[in-house]
Amino acid sequence: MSESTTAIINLTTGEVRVGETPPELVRAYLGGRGLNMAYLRRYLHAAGDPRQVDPLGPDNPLIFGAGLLTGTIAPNAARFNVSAKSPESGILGDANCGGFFAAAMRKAGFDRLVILGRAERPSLILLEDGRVHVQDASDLWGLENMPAQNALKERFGRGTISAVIGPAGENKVRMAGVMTGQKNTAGRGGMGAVMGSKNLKAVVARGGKAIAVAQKETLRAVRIQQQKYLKSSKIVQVLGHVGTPLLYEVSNRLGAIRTRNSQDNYFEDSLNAEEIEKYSDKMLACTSCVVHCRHRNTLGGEGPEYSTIGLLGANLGIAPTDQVITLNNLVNDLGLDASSVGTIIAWAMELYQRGLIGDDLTGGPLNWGDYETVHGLIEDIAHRRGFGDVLAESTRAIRFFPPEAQDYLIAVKGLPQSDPHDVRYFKGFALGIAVASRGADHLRNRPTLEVFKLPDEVREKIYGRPNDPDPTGYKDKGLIVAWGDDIFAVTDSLGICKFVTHGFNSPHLLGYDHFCDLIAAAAGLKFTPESLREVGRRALDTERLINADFGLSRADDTLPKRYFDDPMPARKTKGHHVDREQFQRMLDEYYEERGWDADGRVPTERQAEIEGLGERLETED
Amino acid sequence: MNVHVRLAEPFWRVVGQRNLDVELAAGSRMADLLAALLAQYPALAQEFADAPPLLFVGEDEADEATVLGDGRHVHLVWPIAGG
Ligand code: SF4
Repeated sequence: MSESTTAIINLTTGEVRVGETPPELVRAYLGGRGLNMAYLRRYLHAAGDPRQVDPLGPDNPLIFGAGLLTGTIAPNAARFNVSAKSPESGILGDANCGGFFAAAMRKAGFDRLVILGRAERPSLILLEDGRVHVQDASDLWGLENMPAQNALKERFGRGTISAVIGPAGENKVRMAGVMTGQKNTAGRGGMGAVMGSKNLKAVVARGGKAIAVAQKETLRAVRIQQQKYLKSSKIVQVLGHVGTPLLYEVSNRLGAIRTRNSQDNYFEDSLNAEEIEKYSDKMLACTSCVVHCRHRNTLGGEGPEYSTIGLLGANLGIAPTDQVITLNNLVNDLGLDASSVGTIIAWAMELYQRGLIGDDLTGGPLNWGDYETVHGLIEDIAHRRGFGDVLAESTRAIRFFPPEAQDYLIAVKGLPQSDPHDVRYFKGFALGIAVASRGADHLRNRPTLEVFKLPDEVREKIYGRPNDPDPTGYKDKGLIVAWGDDIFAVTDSLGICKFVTHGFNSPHLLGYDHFCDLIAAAAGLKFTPESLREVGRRALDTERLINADFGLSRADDTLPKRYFDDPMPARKTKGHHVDREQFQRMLDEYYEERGWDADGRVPTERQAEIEGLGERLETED
Repeated sequence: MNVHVRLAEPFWRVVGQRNLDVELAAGSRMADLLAALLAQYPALAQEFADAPPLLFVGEDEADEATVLGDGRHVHLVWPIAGG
């Protein structure tokens, strides 16, 4: 088995320890998200009571973890996860990111960094040929995303690849992301703020050690075969042409686009993919990608994605295409999570519309579609100026608002909803964001196959037993969400992009069988589809335990009030909402599928196994 | 009668345009429209086989039996709802 290397870096003391990641932990969690979770739980416990750990204090471990396959020639193996206690939600924080950084980190000799403490002055971590150097970065403090990355290239050479924070991270904005390239963002949960709280401006990777691969020729053959399979898939072809903006027209036609904070459910055609395409001059890719889904836009940035179009466009009532693309570029320059920003500003706009907040707090009118105000407000959020300083608190801004403001917040577990899909129609989508371990997020489990009218036998083959095909009903949604949980956790632990993962927008992408072949060839580890799914289960159990450490329980697996109480207003989805009693039944079924008890607790024997594994991880104490 | 057809991604690519006007006999149904489209653009057959489109007339979801009227707007949408 190829060796995996972890560096434990204490920014307070300057101490660095580099060692092999325990092989049994790699076997149990693979890498990426899964292994990050094992380290996160271990280090939060080492710090004392996880509930007492200040997310923006030196005790919060910040973990960068590349997937097991990241940087190899496995298809779309580009990704890494950044994990910590989230300053946005106060619970498990974990963000997944593409681009080129993770492959560079592995080539520099590291699979995982556990960053502890707080540097005295603005600093950077340089990873080079298996060594870690902590250096002064005072000259970079204050720079936006690309200027910071460009300055690092000047300083360390053109082959340097960095993950940085922008002003938002420096100012500990709770929805700040970690950026690499123009738009790749480890966006969710405020990981950029954690980096800022550690006075860490950048992690820089330099050096070109080849990533060790168990069977080079076999891996090459598997790659060729899987690439051919993927390229024959319609979704891969379409994503390569237009990227994720293609989803907007479909959701909008259904009446499932979050619009004006989900008061409405459809918006203008000006945000259709064909309009976005007019501003696209090239499609780009991440490491080893066979899809090429990313736009470079003619307004000086990359993107936008479907999420950005929906949340900085429809959700704020902003229709002009160029304005939405400019806002997309702005959040990337400042280092913000577009999903949280679009959700939180829309929340504030509705509160203003309803007279629940006024000019005394906002500093002036806050109206739907007011591009200039939104542009200024995003800058103010990143720099914590005026009302921007209030919104920089994300969901925690509730303390500045009257209590009924909670009724209009589209968030779960303190995390604003990630994507622009109004989930009141597809009940599996609703359950998915309710139970997602990091809060309201579609990328943990979304059962996207619900929209296809797949034959019963195909659905049974995918999910393992017969299941109800009605996407608007409540039956069997626990089954399909738990299925999505596991395969997405495996994907995130391998470092593979979900756009080539079986079940995410297509049943004709890479599944457990394909992953087993890749893992055997790249890492020399033997898995069966069943034992690989077990890795996903273990990751989910570990995440559940982390959140239980923070005091979360069944009551936290819920939805925004609006999704229960307000029927969707128009189009095909008109009248749909989530029934509270039926929702509880979906939760029961989901827990049963997961093997958790009726309160959503992980059984003690599985907890004991996870704790045993965690004890194999060395900590500082 | 004339119906206005909009083809969303990816259907329009094999047709070359996103918006079409199609002449149909009075009283035609959605099935007649689909047959007319397939006759004129045979490459659509593979697209529809890969992913049968969601069909809308105006704001309402339709099926092959839906009767079309003169001047109605028909929207063929790929069944996808990811994120
Ligand atoms: S499909 Fe898109 S996000 Fe995924 S690896 Fe390729 S370019 Fe990156």
